[in-house]
Amino acid sequence: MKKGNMIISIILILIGIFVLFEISSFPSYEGGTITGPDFFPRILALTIIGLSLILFISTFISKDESKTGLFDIYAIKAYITMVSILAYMVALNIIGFIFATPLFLFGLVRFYGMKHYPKLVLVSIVITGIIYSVFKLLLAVPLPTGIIG
Amino acid sequence: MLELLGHGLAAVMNFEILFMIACGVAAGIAIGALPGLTATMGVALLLPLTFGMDAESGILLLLGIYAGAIYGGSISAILLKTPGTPAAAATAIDGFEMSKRGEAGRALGISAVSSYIGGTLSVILLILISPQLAKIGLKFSAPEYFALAMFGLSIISSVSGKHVLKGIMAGVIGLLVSTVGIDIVTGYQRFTFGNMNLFNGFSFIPVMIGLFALSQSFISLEDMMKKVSIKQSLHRILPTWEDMKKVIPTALRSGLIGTFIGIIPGAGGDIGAFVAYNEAKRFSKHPEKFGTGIPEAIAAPEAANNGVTGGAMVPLLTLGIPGDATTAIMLGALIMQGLQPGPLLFRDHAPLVYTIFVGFLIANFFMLILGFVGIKWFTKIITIPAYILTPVIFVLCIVGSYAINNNFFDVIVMFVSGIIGYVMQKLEFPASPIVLALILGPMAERELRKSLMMSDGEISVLFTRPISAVLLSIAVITFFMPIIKKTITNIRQQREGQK
Repeated sequence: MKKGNMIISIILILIGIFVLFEISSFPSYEGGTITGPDFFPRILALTIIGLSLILFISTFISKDESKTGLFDIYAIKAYITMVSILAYMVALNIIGFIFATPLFLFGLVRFYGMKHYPKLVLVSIVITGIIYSVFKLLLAVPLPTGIIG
Repeated sequence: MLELLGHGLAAVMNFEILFMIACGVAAGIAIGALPGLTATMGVALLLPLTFGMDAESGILLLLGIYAGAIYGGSISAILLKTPGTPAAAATAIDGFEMSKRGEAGRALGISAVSSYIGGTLSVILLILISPQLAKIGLKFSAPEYFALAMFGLSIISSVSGKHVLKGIMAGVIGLLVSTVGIDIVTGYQRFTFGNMNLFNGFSFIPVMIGLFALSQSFISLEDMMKKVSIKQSLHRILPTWEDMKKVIPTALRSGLIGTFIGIIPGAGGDIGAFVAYNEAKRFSKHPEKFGTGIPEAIAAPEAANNGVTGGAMVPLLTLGIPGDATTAIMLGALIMQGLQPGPLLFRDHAPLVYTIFVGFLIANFFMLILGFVGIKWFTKIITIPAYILTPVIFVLCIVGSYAINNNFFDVIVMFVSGIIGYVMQKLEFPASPIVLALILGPMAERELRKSLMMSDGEISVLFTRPISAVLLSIAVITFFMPIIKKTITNIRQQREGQK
């Protein structure tokens, strides 16, 4: 947690500096009756830099030994999931909802530990069917069709 | 008011609306019953379903989910000792004790009745209180609205739990993100980097789906392999008259407590339930029996957490400030429907507001009926394995954020928010401050700058107007309360340590 806190403090300080840099090119309304577009972001950027410094220093002097768990063996499951969701998002754009969804469900449910293949196929197709009918047919909510759809 | 209520009743008595309420309540109970799925997540996940609907059906569907999920949380609390939602944590104590004795049906019945009493009482209070509050709100101008937004933001410190500093940091980041887009005062484009999708700022519904549904599912992957099985058989669900005699007074009192806790921004169903549980214990002639599985100890938290649902709608509808993460999403839903919550809502859309009131009452009634008729079905849902459910949630997150504008940019925003939310949780940054800030940020900025225009740049305008001064003082107190409390406990512990 100590390392995590310090890294996040530095990232947030950098974001604050970036915001201050960006707003320096905003048009100036100084001396006018209205506040400029930089007014609110400036207050916020300075606040976040200040708070991040407090977090950084208080973490630095603390004796926190706990781990964030971001690099645990369990977390790998989450990262693989994220990658497969990304792949699913790309597939949605190409082959559309009807084809991409059963594939995604099949792969992920298999990965999470269901080994019975006939059941897996059935689950993937039935769930896709239910979501498709509720969204598209019942409620007329649009679903991604992809370029071939 | 009676005329408006009559109008509301007539509007609700329409097959489509009744059907939507019933669907919402049923979906809500199922979502609440599933451990790991909260009311907030349910409302965020199913919000996209309501885009095509008219305002009445859409809002009532979501309110049905809200009420249903808060009740549904008690089902897994009673059967598994795992509260389905944080609001049902207090119910798990006595609910599971009763269930261990083979009286799961009795506990579930008491929970359904108490939730109904608490929920209904809170909607009645909502109907009575909110028009009065809205009337006061009509007198507000820019400084008061700024003060209100600050009041809404001040609850960040109390929703952040143990990590107040990190919560405030998350809130400031949320405020910064809310400045993306065209500045409404000067028309200047801020931080859009020429991306057209950002001209109107980040749309917060994808952000909420990412932060509350997607990242939560990433976290739940870690303990996915637990097998859930329910051994208890359910019989005699309808409470006996003997039980009812104990349940009704407790439920009425706890519903009242819940409603008032709900009205206070920042205090949600979990706090309401625990306060009511403790009050019921204090009020009881035999407090030692609490914890052994007695009817009052189930009635109190269950009536209170559903009491919170109506209470939390009071500041949302009358002043436009969400009381917790779930009502923050409800605020998003109202805005999506072209309705800006606040005092003007009562003036300009009174028939709609009263339709929502009557529909909310009916949602609570459906919740009672479904709680008795559908209980066997809902207990089956708990046994759906997580390895099937979680991938389905992923699909719903993506489909839902796509449906908002038929735009893949929103899906990317949702995905990135999900990953950020996951890392934040691991680093112990709370997520709800970001959402509160995203929603209240534009209001705070706009009204602050309008106030400064009104006063030619004199900041004192915020403190010299009485209502604004009072609201700002309450905001300051609300903001520092958890910090003060924490310091006092720390000092106390240190003193005790020295002894």
